[in-house]
Amino acid sequence: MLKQETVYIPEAEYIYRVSHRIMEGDCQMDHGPRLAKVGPLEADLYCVTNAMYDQFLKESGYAPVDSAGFLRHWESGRYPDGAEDLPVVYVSQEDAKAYAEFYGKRLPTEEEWQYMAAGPEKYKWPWGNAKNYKFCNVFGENTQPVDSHPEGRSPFGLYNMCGNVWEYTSERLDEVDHSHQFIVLRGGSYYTAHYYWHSESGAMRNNSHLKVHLMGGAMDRYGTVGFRCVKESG
Amino acid sequence: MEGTKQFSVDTGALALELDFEKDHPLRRLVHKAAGTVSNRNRDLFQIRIYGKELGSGDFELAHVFTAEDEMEKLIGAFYTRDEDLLKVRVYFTWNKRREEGGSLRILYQVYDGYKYGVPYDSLIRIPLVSDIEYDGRGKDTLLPPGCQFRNASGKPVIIPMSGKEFSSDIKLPLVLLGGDKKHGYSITFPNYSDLDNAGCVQNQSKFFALMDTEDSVRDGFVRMAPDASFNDTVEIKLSAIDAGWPEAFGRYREDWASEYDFSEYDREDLQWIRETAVHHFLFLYGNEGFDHKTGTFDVDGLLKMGEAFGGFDTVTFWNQYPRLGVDERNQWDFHRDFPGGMEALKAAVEEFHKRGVRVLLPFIPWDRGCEESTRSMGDQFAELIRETDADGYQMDTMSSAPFSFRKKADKVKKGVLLQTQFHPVKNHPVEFITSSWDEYWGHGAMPEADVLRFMLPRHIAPMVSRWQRQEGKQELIQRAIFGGTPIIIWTDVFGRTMLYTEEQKQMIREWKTVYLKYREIFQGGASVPMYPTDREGVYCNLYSDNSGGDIYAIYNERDSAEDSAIELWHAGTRAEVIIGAGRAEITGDRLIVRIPPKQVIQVFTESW
Repeated sequence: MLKQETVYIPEAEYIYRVSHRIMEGDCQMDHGPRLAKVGPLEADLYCVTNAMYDQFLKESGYAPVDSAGFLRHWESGRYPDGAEDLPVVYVSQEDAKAYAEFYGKRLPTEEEWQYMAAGPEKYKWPWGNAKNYKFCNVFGENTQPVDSHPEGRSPFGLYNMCGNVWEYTSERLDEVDHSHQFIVLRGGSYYTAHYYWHSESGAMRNNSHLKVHLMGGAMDRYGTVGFRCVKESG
Repeated sequence: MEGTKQFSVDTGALALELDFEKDHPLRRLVHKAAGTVSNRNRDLFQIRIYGKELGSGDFELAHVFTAEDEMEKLIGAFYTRDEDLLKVRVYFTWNKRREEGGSLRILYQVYDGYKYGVPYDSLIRIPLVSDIEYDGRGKDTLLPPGCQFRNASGKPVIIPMSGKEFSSDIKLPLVLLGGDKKHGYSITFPNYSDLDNAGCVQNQSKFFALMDTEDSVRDGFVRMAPDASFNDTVEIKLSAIDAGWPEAFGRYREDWASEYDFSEYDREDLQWIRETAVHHFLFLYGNEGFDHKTGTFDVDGLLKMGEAFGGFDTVTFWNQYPRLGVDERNQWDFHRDFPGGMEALKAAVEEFHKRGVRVLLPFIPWDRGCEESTRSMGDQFAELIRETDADGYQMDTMSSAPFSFRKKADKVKKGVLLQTQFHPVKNHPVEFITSSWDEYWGHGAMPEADVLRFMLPRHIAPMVSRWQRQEGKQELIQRAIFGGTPIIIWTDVFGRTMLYTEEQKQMIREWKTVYLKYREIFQGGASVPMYPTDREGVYCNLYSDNSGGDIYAIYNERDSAEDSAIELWHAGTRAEVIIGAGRAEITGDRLIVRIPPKQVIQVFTESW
């Protein structure tokens, strides 16, 4: 069973810019470019696994206020056999934040996540500038262990920042008229919906994100979205 | 740098002087390699809204800043106009290591606070795009992004990807060349905009890409749909060009391909399609390949017929449309009810295989019953391959497919070809659908060059046009030779007989020999459509894999024989006409050719 490890992300400044596929409705936030300051951080090497989340539940007694869809893939309060090192999914951004806070951590901001994935040389993909599906779990059948695809690690050594599961960042945004709330996801997942009008999926570039409207309950928990944490270093 | 309003940008290839205290902040642009100074005193933008036309001088310059990191430099200028609740951000960025060839990116973000509470129509014009110059009007040549080349009668020569606006991300650059046709600028519109309706902030990016005449570029006002946030409105990427259209096209292709993983095209088991040239479409209700007296395939009879064309490399069985629909039987039932059943189909495939011919089966996505799902269709898709040992599918009406079809087919047999009727759409389909038809319908098809064929030469797209009569078939063959593509022989079009003349069969026979001999050059990644010639009415496509030999396919649309001098792509030592009746020789750095009227020839030049 994997233990979480952390990687030191030194303090840095970089020109941050994010883009995304433009569909109807767009994405009402500031996409840069701007000079962003990140670090120093201790960043999780892996996404949080089922076993790690299970331990959190036991240690913290956490229970979401609205548990609809919470850990839907678990059976009788327990993750399936053999799934201990798979990334935990069917957790909302709040469920992820609860985990992070319990251990004195937090979710990374968009600026931090992008730097952790792209490094100072601002790679398009965690492993470099050439797209390569062999380095990530995309177009697959299911999630894979969080330490899979070591060849696809980011410049800081972080695993699976492209594919396997989308990852939460800490942002939660109001649209300009405060009529909606949305979050943005990073990295893409193993799952690819096949039709054009489906949401974008598969391998996502380091400098892109996906806007997702919030609704609450089971609608905000997905079988393809997980998370990793960071905390300030020193 | 706070307080400074004057900046010098140096990307290595371009130099730009900016003075944000001026109403026309872009003071000048320098093409560094040539030393050419142009585009003086341009405004950064013009916006039309509320019946006004606003330039940057009508806004307050709120903030100018610079930033730099390990890879990039950035200059940002923020403009506000409080009375209209408008804000504009303009950013200049460039890579310090020249990883983008010294290109300069200029990004616009327009914020509209909806002054009257509701959105009003608004348009933007980018003077650096619409007024772009190199040597000056009258000397420059502008190739609009929506249509770079037209023939004498105004017909577009490079045929774009067809379909809905979101089908393709191939949007060729705007190119502006000076008097020497070598130096100038290329502008692309990197963006992730899919739609061109007014519901998307970036919809005008698509509109830019569709500017298909010089007038529409010069007019330049395009609709935008900002809201009260800083989404990207439009981004332009400006590059200095030193080697004309071929360089601009090649750089664009490189940029486009960098967003893809085309490793599926490297699969060993799928390479066989690259070694084929002449394909046959077999309508099984006719007698071309089926003996109706015995109710059996006539494999030898069909292949004997094919000898006149140089031999069929593949045969596509067609026993579905237009028979489907008389009763409730579906495409899968048709195979089972085929005379002799599935066993007969399997035996026919085996007979073709013994003679070195591959077989494609029809897949009809629209023939889906209520009881069928994408999942069950994919299962049937794979099962039919397992039952017949066929080599792939011709996928009717399709331009995409669920990836599960690929994976399911792989589980039953290696080397199953997915060939869609239309070119695959962007993103994943174009990565895993490695063949499609280059089908066209109209008449007057010369000269035409299919853009995907040059963007992704490894994607094998045989040429087909089902309804062409004698004269049209002549053009079909010419179009295949000019386009450097395989060809599909389809003479029984669902019961309508559309034959070739003996002379045409001979042309195809010769073309097959040439295509297969030089196929690595034809499929080479450095190929360029509309390679420059020095004669109006003489068009050239260049085929090259940058490895020792190039092929120039040259078409003369005039009524008289024409001479043309074509600058060599690579220095050459020997020129040989490999198909057609023209003449060719190398003189210095030029290929001198003579082409008969209305004819296409190909010239092979041996390089270095």
